[in-house]
Amino acid sequence: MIRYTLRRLTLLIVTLWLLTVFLFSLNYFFPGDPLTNMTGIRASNTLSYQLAAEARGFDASIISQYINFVGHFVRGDWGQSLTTQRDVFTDLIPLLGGTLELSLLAMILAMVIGAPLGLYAAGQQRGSMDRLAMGVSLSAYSIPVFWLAQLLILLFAVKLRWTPISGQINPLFDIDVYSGSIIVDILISDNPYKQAALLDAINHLWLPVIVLAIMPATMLMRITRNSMLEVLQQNYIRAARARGLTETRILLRHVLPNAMQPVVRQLGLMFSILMSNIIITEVIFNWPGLGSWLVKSIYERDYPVMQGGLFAFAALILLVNVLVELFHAWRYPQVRKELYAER
Amino acid sequence: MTILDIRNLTIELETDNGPVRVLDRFNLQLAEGEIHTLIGESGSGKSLLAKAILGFINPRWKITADRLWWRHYDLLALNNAQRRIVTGRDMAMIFQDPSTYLDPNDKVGAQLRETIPAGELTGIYLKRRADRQTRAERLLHRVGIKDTKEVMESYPHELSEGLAQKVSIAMAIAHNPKLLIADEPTTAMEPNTRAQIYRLLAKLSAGQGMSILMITQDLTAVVPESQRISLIYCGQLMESGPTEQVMQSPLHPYTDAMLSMSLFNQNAGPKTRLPTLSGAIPTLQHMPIGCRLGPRCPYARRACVIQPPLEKRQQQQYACHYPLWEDSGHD
Amino acid sequence: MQNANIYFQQREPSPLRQIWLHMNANPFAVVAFYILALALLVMLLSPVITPYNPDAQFTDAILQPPSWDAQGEITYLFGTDDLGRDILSRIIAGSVYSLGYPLIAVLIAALIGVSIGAWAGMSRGVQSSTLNHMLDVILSIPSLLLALVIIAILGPSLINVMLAITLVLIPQFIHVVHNAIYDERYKEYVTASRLNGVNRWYMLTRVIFPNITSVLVMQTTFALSTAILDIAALGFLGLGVQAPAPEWGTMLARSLDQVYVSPWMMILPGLALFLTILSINVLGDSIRAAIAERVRNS
Repeated sequence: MIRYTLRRLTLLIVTLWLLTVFLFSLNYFFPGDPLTNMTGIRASNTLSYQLAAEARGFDASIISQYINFVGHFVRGDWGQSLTTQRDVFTDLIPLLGGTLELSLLAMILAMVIGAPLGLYAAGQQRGSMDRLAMGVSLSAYSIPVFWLAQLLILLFAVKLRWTPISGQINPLFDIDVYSGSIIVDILISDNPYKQAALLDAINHLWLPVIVLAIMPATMLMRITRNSMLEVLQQNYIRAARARGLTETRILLRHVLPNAMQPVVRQLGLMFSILMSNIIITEVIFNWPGLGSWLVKSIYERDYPVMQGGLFAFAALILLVNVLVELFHAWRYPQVRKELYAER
Repeated sequence: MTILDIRNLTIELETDNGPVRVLDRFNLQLAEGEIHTLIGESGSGKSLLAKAILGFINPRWKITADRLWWRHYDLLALNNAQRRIVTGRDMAMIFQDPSTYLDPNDKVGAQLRETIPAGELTGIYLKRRADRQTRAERLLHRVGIKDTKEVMESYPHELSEGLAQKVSIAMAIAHNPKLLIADEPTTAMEPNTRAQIYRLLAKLSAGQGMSILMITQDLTAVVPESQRISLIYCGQLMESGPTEQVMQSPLHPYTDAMLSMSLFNQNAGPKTRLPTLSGAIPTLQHMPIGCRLGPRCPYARRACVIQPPLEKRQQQQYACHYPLWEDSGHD
Repeated sequence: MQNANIYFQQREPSPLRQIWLHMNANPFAVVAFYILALALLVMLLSPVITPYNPDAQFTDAILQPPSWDAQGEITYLFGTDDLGRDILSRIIAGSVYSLGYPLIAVLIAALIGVSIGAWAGMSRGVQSSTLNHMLDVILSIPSLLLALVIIAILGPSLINVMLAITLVLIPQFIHVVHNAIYDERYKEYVTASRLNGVNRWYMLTRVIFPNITSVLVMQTTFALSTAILDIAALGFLGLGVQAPAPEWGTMLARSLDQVYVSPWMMILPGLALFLTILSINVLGDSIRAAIAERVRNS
């Protein structure tokens, strides 16, 4: 396991390093001046531009430029926005919090809905409920998230008026932003109307969370059902029955852990899909998060912000994937054998 | 004393092309403490028989029998839950690919411990846990594994096939079954390991009066300890009897053919072909009527389109219209 | 009927034919197949069958509801949008952008991806394992994000979107083909042909390829639904096909502000998109089920 962990972590570090190389070269791919793209300082601001050129080693070779770039990058100096002149890294942290809040809640909701439904469908194998569940899941999987969001807004916000159309919280509450996660921020704030603010935040929150959760939930349901059916046919389950173990014990000790294996393996993929949906959802719901920030930066050709957003997204996805893989290998040891025994 | 009594067991599978009879009026009697070897080519329905005895039954199978008795239980009359109690207590089975019968994500020790019947443990939780551990270790000792600690701490994929089979045997004997069904337990194993497993099974049988139904592919795999053998071809019982007697003087042409094409044939001269039956095993959809060996049997006559009844001669049972001792029957 | 064949022979249908037979047995797959065929037909005939020019603005009929609504008129079957354009015409014309272009992107990506994947699958050692690790990393990043990066570099336009989607799909094809060949490579039948002295080209095209076609078909349907979704998503974000073009995603983006007054502007193009993607996914799913069944039977 230690060997496996080290291998994965090395791979992660190599990947992140490649990502910095890619980001660095992006500054040259983007139209315009590379130094401006990197730091957000325009050439018209002569003095700062000169200083930045010196600090970033732009008078020297491309290698030293890269080394300087990584140096600044690691220190959290990601340049400043071309449009707002604000520091990218300080802007990014609360936005990351907002995105993480949405994605975590959606992921939890997806698991709470998806896995039990999948188990239920497996229990009804080939029955009408199973067919219905699988049909609904395939349809839900095919709904483009931006259409789904609009449909739900139309239903819940416009027709039923249960929830506001967009935003994170009513600005009247005036909550100070620390972590970006609205619930955490309300809880640590000393606002006198804490309870009301919390309710308002939840009222804003539930619709985007449901929109985001539907796709991973349907995927989870399908995977759970299929792997459950697969495991139930395995020899070791039949052998366990022949040995006279009780049905509950077989289910809890042998069926469920093995059925969850493909589910765990797919969690990384599910997170990736969630991330691409979150970009769109944040734009629709006007949610202050990484996704809407990134898309806005592309509209405005705000290259330093774009780089920051891209790196944050890519790093987040890679990190989650590695964590999922490590957990998978730790919990399901025969995976490690397959990985070591490379042909 | 006969503990397993099967009379005219028939299993039909529902397929897209209509029902297929995979086991056709099969008979088997097994005495207490006896090792009985069942020999049949692949697809002859021998594994199906084992599953039918143990009750691994697919709803698409249609099982009928004049008798399917285990001791004083009529297995066909029991419902699933009752049947699981009986078979779980009295029978056990070991298989061809032992490692696929172990949960891949659970340590061997844990799986072994959970097989130990809870009813035989007493005392408070901690004592029971310790007892489980010692009994699991003892089981592993009994199947000839010395390094119990390492085996118990491993996952199934870390064991060799031979070792995994020993662990399966240990699990199978955990509740002292009266009958152990061994379905080609040593296929794809080295001769050395194979011999070890067979010796172990014979010892267990002798030591605690456990009957063993050994299922194999060919005559060469019959162990010396086996008291009786039965030959099955395409779901029909061909011949059954005491091992020595059947090997020495087969009554059924099929047994004769099997013997003469095996390494037991001492009459074959050097560099000559071993005699074989012409033709190939028919597919399940196209079974001949009557005696299924008919089209391939060198002695077949018109009467062979009617299935011969099982007849008995000096403890040897055979199903043939023209058994080999009636000299008049052959050219 | 008298049969000249004395022996009943059971012929194994070819892998693709088996999948076809399996799909025919599933009514949903058949329906999906017809919907998709209809959509393709509409796309091919779109210049002929649109009732109006998709860009024509009828100033006297702005925000006309669909014909089944009480205030609707039969002249505009699906109603009109906020500029008075006929929505039916726009949806039909939009199929070129939302179905035709993704189709082209997938075909190009398949061509390039399969060749590279086949080359990588046949090579061995470091070359192949490095490639595999790289692909694993690239594939863990969602395709939409990668497309966004490419759009950010090149700027939003139809050509750039096509380029981005094609580039994003290529690694998926490489990965699938590489893995499929890798799995087949050590099977006995391949070893047997290798011992027969077959050369690498023959081995690839005649020995291995027929056995991975079903996987390829599945990957193609998957890529197609990804491509449609991504092009629509980029259009929705305003980073893809640009505004006057009747692309379904762009139409949805326009309807975002109009959702209170004219929900049909949002529901109808979305429904077209949903039905197309659903039918592709149903087809892909039944192909997957057919492959699984085949593997189980063998």
